[in-house]
Amino acid sequence: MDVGEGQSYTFRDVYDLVFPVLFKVVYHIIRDKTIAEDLCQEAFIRYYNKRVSLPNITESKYWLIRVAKNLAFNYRKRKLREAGAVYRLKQEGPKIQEDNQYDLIKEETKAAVKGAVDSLPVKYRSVLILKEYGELNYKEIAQILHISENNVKIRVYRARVLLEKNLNLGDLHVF
Amino acid sequence: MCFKGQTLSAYVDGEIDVSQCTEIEVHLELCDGCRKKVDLLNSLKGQFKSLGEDIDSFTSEAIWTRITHSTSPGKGLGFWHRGFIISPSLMLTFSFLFIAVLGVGLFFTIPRDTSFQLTSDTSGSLFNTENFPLEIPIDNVEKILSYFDIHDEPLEIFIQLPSTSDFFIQGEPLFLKKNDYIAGR
Amino acid sequence: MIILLVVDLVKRYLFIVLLFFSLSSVYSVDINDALKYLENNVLNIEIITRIVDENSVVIWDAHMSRITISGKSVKVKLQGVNLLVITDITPYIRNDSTILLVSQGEIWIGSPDSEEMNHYSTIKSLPVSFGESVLFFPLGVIKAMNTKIYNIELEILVSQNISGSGD
Repeated sequence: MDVGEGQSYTFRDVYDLVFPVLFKVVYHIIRDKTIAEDLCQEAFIRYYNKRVSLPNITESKYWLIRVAKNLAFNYRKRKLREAGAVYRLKQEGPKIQEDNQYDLIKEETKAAVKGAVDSLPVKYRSVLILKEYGELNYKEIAQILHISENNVKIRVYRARVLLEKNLNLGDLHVF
Repeated sequence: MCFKGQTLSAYVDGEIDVSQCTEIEVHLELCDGCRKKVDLLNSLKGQFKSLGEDIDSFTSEAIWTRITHSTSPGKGLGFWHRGFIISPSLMLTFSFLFIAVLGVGLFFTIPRDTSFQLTSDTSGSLFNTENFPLEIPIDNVEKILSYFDIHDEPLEIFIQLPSTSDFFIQGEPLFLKKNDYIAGR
Repeated sequence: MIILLVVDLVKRYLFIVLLFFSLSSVYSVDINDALKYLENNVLNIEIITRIVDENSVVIWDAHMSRITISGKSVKVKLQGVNLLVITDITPYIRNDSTILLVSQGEIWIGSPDSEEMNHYSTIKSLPVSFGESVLFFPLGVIKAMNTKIYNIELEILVSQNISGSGD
């Protein structure tokens, strides 16, 4: 749903525009669909209580993504502290159930990538998730995180360098 | 001249302006090193695509329903225990109150032995201030500890002197070591 | 909802609750630690009150002892027809295993043909060894040898008490 700037928009308009990207971002931080739904709901409820102070739908989108990202990272930090190893194990990705060699490799790769992303420092993980899952450009990411575009560019690059190092991409199959 | 890694990363993300883009593409045809870097960056991006989670419209509508339900006036929350938002300061206040109540409750429930039995002394005339004979049983240290807990006041010995005669002051009251007294005499 | 809130708070702040319990356990003294402390600090104060004549012959006496600990005073009240003597004895165990005996005496004495009471007091700190006697003469020391008068003396003896014994 495309809502132009300067036009009046409803809460539903914001929801339709932002929810898909919000859910992807939160899900890829939390890796739990149910909790991701709850956190997205929480972010929208907070937005609902605050929306009168935001000038336009773009600002609303950035605000929502920022809030949801923080909620997700805080939740994750709390859960990691509480559950420790059990949670970390859960975060490593789906268990490999397929006998088929092709699927096995694919699942291993997915698990490896998830694990590698999770091991990134928060500031690098944030920009990468916003870029790759949020499908946001550098300018948008800069506005959400309150940093410069150049900073976003550097962080994305450094995140990829670290990811490459963690994955040791020489052995990885690309599909 | 080769491009910086972050420039190639931005190129892969489509964040480079048109003129620089052309420059990079020309360079990539000539430079194996930079082409390999770009291939690697693209493969990384490809990995993310494989992890993508699709949102079905059912999920989206379900969450919308929950949101509208919770933001409608007078209606309760679907996940009510989650929806009860507590500010950190309120939570901290509740925590301290909880601990204080627990502490007070524990303090007043600590049992105290008030039924300490005392026995009489046999030498001289020995009375406590209420004229009851008393003695501290001191056969074991546990009872001493218990006694001190109950009777946290000076240990008093009250002696009734024989009324045979009056007493007179002889000199200044005096404390001294017995050996010094004997030596002095 | 209140119960869930409390449970959530307990879960979140369990470490504070546990800290409180560990601190409160300080007040529920471990009896073995208390006994060990007491073994080193329990003192037996033996007090012998004597009435002597001018020739230092003991006319009357009273023996008693009290268990105390370093720093806790024992008060002796002697009451006669015209006399009240209050003696406050506080032993302190010193680092070199001697005792500092802080003794305070107050005397109220009246004359037989008058209702007036005179008050005297004295305080003295004496370093003594265990088993070393200290004498207190609340009425002073008899000087006149030829007059038939009676005097009071208290002998104070501090010893270490481990097993505990009393009158």
